[in-house]
Amino acid sequence: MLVLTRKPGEKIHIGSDLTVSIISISENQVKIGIDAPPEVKIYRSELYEKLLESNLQAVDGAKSSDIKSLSALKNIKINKNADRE
Amino acid sequence: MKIESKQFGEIEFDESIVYKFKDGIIGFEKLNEFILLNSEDGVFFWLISIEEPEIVFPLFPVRPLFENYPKDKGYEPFGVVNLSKNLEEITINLKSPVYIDTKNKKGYQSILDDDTYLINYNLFIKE
Repeated sequence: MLVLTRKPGEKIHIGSDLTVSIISISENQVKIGIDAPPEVKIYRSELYEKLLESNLQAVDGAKSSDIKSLSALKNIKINKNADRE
Repeated sequence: MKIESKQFGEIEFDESIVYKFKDGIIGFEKLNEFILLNSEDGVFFWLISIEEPEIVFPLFPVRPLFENYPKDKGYEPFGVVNLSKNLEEITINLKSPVYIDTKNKKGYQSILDDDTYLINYNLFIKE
């Protein structure tokens, strides 16, 4: 991994169209600004990993479920929620 | 076109029903073509990868659950479902919906900033 030391207000260019700016730092937080083309997806890693895990589980679930047995969906109702506004 | 999988056997379909997912699905970014089938009982939809037919995402439309769920024009939001033998353990991912445009046959998986929508919302409750 490439490790660079930067000060608040300084930037890093990644390739020609990606810029990472150090906006501010405090005791245990860094505020980072990212300029990237819209097709570059940017996620907080912990969220991305959770969503990835959830998708993998869904694929596994579909593999192991007996798709036809789901018609046993009687006596059960959809957990319809009033929208929270 | 024709695909074959353990779960569904052989499926033959016209190219015109193929959905394009330009960015794939989170964790499956290289899969860009899918077909969407309704389950036999009409409850779920199956988003089946054409490139890897063993990869299937069970989907459920979000609108019947949350009427005011975030919209994208022309697209219908679906949640990826985690199936379970115990129906009350079946959950739906409302945090990163799959938006599908049935008319133009395209879709994408989004991530909502809104933290009120859970990754593992219980889809069913016992009556």
